[in-house]
Amino acid sequence: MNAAAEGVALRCAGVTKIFDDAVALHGFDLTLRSGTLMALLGPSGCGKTTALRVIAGFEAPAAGEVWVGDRPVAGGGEWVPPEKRRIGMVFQEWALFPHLDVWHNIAFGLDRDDERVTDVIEMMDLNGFERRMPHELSGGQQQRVALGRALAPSPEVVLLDEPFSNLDATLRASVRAEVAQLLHDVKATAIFVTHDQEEALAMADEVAVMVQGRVLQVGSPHEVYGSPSSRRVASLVGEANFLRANVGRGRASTALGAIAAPGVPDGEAEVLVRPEAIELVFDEVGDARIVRTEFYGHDQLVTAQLADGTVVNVRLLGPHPELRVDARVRARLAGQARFFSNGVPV
Amino acid sequence: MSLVAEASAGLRRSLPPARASRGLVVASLAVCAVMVTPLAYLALRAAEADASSWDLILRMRTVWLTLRTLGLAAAVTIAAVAVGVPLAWLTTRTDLPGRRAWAVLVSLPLVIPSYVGAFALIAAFGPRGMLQQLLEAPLGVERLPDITGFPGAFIALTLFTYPYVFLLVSAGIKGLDPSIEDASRSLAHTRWTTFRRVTLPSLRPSIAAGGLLVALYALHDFGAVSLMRFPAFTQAIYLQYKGAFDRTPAALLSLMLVGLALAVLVLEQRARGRARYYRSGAGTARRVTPIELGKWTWPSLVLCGSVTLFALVGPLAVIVFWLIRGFAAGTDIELTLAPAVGSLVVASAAALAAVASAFPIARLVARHQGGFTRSVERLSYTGYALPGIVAALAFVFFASNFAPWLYQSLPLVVIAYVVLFLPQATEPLRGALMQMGPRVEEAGRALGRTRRHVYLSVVAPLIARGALAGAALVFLTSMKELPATLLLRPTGFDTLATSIWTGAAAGLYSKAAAPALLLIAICAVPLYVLVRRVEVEKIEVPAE
Repeated sequence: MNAAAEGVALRCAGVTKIFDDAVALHGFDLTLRSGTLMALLGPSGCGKTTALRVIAGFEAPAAGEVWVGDRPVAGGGEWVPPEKRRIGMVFQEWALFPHLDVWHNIAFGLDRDDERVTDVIEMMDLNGFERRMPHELSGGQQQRVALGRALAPSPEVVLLDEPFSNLDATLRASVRAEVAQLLHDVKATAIFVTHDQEEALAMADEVAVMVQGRVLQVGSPHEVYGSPSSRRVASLVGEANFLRANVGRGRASTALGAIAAPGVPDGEAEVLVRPEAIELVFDEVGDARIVRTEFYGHDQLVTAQLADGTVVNVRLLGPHPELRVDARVRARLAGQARFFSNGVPV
Repeated sequence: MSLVAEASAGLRRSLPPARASRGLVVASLAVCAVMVTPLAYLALRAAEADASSWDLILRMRTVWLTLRTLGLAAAVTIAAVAVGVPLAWLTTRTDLPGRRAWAVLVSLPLVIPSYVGAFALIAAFGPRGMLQQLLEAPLGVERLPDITGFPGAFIALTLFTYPYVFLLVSAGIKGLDPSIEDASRSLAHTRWTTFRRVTLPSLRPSIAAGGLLVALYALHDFGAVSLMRFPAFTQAIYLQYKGAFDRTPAALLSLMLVGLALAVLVLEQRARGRARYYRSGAGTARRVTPIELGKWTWPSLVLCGSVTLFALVGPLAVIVFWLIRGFAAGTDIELTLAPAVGSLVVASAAALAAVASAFPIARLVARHQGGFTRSVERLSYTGYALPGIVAALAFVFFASNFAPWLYQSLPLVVIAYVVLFLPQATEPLRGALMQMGPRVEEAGRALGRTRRHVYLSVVAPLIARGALAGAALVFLTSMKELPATLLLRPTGFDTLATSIWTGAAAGLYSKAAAPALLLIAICAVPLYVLVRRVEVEKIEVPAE
């Protein structure tokens, strides 16, 4: 938090971590600028939590380096134990000290700084709960105590390990917004781990997409969603339809008809079309057929089978009662399309 | 309470408890009636006490007696915690070489009753003991410093009770959420302050529960303090009972000792503190990286090794020494077969009777919470606060006045064991029933099966392991029980415990050696069953 505005708060280079039976991190690279809230997004088992634990100093990497600000903390012969790294952590199950009340949980990382504890309790909206024990708090309050405890010593970086997975769905959305706001207000530099792409896109300034122990792409939510660096990233971040395309002289013929393909080399390719970029129009002689619908109120997800047999998911705003299962429709591209060849964008 | 228990407690709040069947209520009331008999009878006798009995008590300098007894219990508890906690931590959290083997070795002294341990200590270091005899020929040593009295009682009790702390704290450490330790490290605390400020306080309930068992053991102990000639409460009660025709002073002393035990129970409740110990949420349990001992490896090995040496190998060696001595000298080593059979018969009967009596109570507690259940549950824990010698005295009084046909009969011995050890059978059964939950039974009933059929085909197999664990525990403690057996046994009936006592009290070490060795060997079997259970599902800390 006290590094220069555009300074690098955290850097991991080529970090590798091997457990007895599996490689958890494999050339993990990550750079985090000060004041950024980053989401580390990936499927379960991709090594996200291990990455956090290596950064925090609970695991030693087999290879690679970790820097906090301009201090090397692991690798290259350096080893700084977790208590000296100035990295705060919010654990998946919060790990509040069950024998200490709210006040003493938050004060745990401070040297008798009652003023700071009061400030943090104020900031976390925990006034009046100072003497409560962890088990006497609601889920959202426990969450705030855990965050307050991690923020109290003003760490350089805060790590949050699946911080919302312990909350039920109704609470999650509001707590998420609250936490994001709090982290922004204190200009914290933070990484949170999640497997929920919606959570990552909604909360983070930057999203790092992680698969099998390495980071595939880092970018703003718009970048990773709109310009995924690979087919894999595209399907991890948001829903993705992939259509076969035959490209010739700047045009591609697809199951959604002919679409412009400027600069795409001739031959076979794949087109990524997001569900909201397809339009379905009710048409008794249309060549596509609806196979499934899920109505959510504000929008709906419609699955349609196109003329060549390809099945696509389409997200439509507003009610469309005419789009029932087995109804005939016409499908066309109504947004962006991105071309991939051999899994990489072209 | 265990996690499962807590989860079902939550469930219980949301659903009104089902009404207990009349059979269950009657059965549990009957068990409770037997449980309260000794205390109620003692209270009755004490109420009749006249001035002369009270005079006698005052003349006995009861305050000193109390202080001595409490002092011993406190010293033993502190020492057992000091030995048990580091061992538990070393064998669960560190990279100590051979930690699994050490865990088994340091819990084995549990099979050695404290009076056998005391006997081994005296037979080794006492007058005409092994050490003195070995030193006499080459060095002419004729006297060694006396180990009887407080030091002997303290050492014997500590060496053979610390495994309670060890086992409960090991289970506590395994159940601890390791991320609270990580959280402390990430808040700039070193490994040592983390241990002191987070790990140790989180283990408070397990330490308190283990300490409670040790303190009660020390208060209740009769054999070790008597052999060591340490004048503790139990010994005073025994002497008063043996020496005086009027038994009222013995009843008064007994009630005072029960009062001390209750005070210890209250103290333990306080020591637990306000915190609740839980792991929230399901989450993935991550692997715990063992802490590297580094240069502490050797000191740790020395600690484990010396505890094993003094609490296990040493006593066994001494006993074997005297056994061989006896054979060599052609001493008439009495056939230990009859006492062995005697022990097996009463201990097995007690194990069966205890599980049968525990079932209605465990079922009430697990399925039908409410005021009635709470009272029944409390009464069933009487045994914890009841020293063996006190229960025995009460039953002697009761039987000789009201049921002469029970007096000095084997059934009375078994009843006394059940009263003393019932909670040991209730706990695992209750745990098994709670883990099973009521829905499984309801599913069986909904499939058109009778209650009886469901009990036999669903409930019985699912709680079999809990019942076995309870039976093993009661069997183990009954095998080791001394004072109640001494007072209640029929004339001429011997168990291994009483044979050891007779031999050791008379200074006939080789006579006590054979039954002692046999007792330890037999006790190892139920202990094995229990250790397996600890490994499979973790032992439960006794509930409040």
